[in-house]
Amino acid sequence: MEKLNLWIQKYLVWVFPNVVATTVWDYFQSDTEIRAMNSFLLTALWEVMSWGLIIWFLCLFIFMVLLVFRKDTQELTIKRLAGIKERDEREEIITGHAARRSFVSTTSFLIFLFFLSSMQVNIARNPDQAVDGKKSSLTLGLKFSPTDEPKTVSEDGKVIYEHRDIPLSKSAILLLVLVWQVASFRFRVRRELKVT
Amino acid sequence: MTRISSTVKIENNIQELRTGKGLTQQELAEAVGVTRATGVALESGDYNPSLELAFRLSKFFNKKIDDLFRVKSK
Repeated sequence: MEKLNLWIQKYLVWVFPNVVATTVWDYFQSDTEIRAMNSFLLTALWEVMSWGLIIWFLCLFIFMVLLVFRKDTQELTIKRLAGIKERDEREEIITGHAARRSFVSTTSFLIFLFFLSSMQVNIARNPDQAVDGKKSSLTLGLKFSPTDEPKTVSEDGKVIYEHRDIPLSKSAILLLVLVWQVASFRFRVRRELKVT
Repeated sequence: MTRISSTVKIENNIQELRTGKGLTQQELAEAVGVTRATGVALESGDYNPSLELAFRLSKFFNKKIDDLFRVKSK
């Protein structure tokens, strides 16, 4: 499993430039345009880069699953993120302190973003409809919607399924991440307390 | 009840004992199973070791823990 971890991490790092290059190329020329050029070399290059991108996303998915559930993947990632080659008790304390501080700052940042995403501010000026002699109004409120506005469906009926982004609202994603972060932290703490 | 300050500074004489044995920091670190960076931090008093590491050092130098570590007097 450790070898698989290493291979996946290496692939994700080394093939990342290909991901950027494919995205940039795709921005300027679509798949149909590239094929219409009738150049074997360009089509072959496009195919290789596209397959690289598909495998990269597959590896990213596997890596994310491993990162959530596998302790050795978490250790390896922390080691890489902290820039530490070897691990001993002092490094564990250092990364523990750093993780604690970053956890608190990330949580507070997520709470701030969550409230920002669900806050509604409305300043209006109605010169014709004065209420109690006041012609301007300020409305503050909070609105939470789990999903975004429904997207327009292709009218020609050709598109059967199209995936563009997560079908959740910004507030819902932030709330989900926030709940996940706090819940996973509490779960880990409880497990560690049972072990030690 | 006597309260003990949580910011107690602990001194050690690991550097003297190590040089007395003619060892490098790397050799001592490897012998007690830590990194060289931890060895350096230990000797300079920047890091208080775990009880387990303290016992490993005590065993390595064949000294009592009290002979290795002491609370720094103010």
